[in-house]
Amino acid sequence: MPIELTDIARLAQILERSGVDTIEIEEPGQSLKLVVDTDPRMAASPTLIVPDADHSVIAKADIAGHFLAAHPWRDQPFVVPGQRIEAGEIVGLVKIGLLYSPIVAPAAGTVDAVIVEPGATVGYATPIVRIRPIN
Amino acid sequence: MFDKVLIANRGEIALRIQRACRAMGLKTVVIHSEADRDARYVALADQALCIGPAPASSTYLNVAAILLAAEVSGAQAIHPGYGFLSESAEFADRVARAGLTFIGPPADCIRTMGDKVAAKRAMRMAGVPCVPGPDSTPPEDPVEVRAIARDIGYPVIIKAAGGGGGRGMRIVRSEAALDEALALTRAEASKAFKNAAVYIEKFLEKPRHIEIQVLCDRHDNHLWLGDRDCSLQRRNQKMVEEAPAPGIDRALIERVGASCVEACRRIGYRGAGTFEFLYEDGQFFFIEMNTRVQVEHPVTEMTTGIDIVKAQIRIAQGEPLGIAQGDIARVGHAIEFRINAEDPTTFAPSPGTVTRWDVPGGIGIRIDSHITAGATVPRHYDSLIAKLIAHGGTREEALARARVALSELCAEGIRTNVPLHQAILADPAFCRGGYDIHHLEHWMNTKVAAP
Repeated sequence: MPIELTDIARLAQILERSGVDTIEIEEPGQSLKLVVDTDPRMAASPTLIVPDADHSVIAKADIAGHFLAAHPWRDQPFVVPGQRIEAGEIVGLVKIGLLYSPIVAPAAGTVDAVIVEPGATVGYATPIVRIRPIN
Repeated sequence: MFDKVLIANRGEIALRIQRACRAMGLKTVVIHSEADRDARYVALADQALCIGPAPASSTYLNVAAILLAAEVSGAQAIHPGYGFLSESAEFADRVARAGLTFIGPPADCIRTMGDKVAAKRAMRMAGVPCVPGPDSTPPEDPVEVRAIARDIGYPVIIKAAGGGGGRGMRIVRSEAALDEALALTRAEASKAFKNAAVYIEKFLEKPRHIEIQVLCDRHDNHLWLGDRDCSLQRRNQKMVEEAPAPGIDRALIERVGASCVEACRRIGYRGAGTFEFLYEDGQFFFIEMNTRVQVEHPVTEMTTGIDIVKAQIRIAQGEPLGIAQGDIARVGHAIEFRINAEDPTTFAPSPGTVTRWDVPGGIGIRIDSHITAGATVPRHYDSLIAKLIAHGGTREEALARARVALSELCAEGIRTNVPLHQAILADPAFCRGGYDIHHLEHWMNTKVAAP
């Protein structure tokens, strides 16, 4: 069944109301990702975007859970060292029971290293991916 | 039956709960904020999860984050400690709905006792002595309210039904001030507690604060473990607590304790709890019930030998208490001094890094503290860093041991209220015991006035 524009509008409303910032829906032949820009967590958490001493930036978890390097339906990890990524791109997931919360790149750059082993328990502000920013 | 407990608190009580769990062979999960990341008890837990930045609203008060941490860690029970979410009926409810065990009373007990008017009604029905005044909110008609206040006799106190711990109340000394005070307290209550309901009681001029510790299991065992005197207070914050209360007729306390047990039976109470009373002119008056473990629980543990936190956990596991009222011994006298990271004269908080931490010891001395040398006292939370508890055969012996212990305690890098406690221990009125709740503030004012 195709996803209608009205469904997307409704979904966006539900996300905003419930304070959820991202949803991904995949069906055979189509996929939809909605990101609602209302998340106060990023704005309220400067510790999540502070650059390191060596000028690299770190993508950190913003919730406690188990780290997934790849989408549960895919074999390929979200990012590998050397890969170019944009700010806001998903670099991994935190799994909490049936929930998946994305970890996003705070800045555009090149992936230097994925610091955490897949499956490891991470907490708020645990460094996940080191990124060499552009410039 | 659970074997992994999530501790939804911080500081000394997080360590206290962790110790009880470990001694019982239970695994522990500590949730913490970024500010508490390097605390020793965090390292000692079987599992530690950082759940957010420093503010309590993001962490220790964040119900969703705590429940998700329970899911991630596989903890089957949550101990709320004191403060934070410990007296939130909604939290207790949500823990239960998540299929976890809340280590505390049933949510409806927390709800009833959280509404001071409902609590007073429940206590009166169980025969617990209450402060004179109706156990209902006053009528809208100001003429009727004036009649009620006249019946009680001035001075009266107007209190918020949703308040507690000294917040949301106003003293009225004459009829002229009644209408305005009532309107103000209602407005404040609706803002601060989201509940505009207030009630009117007789205001006691020179009461002592005496409380009764209870423990109730699921097998119809309802016990009271003795009394505590917590009259040494500053701005409604307790500073020193002791057990038993000096100079009060033991037969009277026995009757009050028995009435507390009866109240527990009637409301189906379960877990640890405390009935707080004002005591004046040989009479007890119920003020509120705390449906959680209290900061000052160790003085009762020292005199009875009963591990109250362990008992809470056993009750939550469905175990019987295994003791009868007649088996409860009360040995000697115990007194607790709250050590705060604050200036001993201005009371300004003194957060920072503790560069040196030497703790006392010896017979009859117990220190409950999460502090180690190098630890940080964050500025985001309350300033309690340690509790020094002294136990002795008599009150005099307990005070003597406390003096030695306080002189051995050495904290550097932050300021503490240890010098204030030492000055208090040199005050003859304190040493006699039996002072009222205004004593500390009067004594400090005189001290400042005299050069």
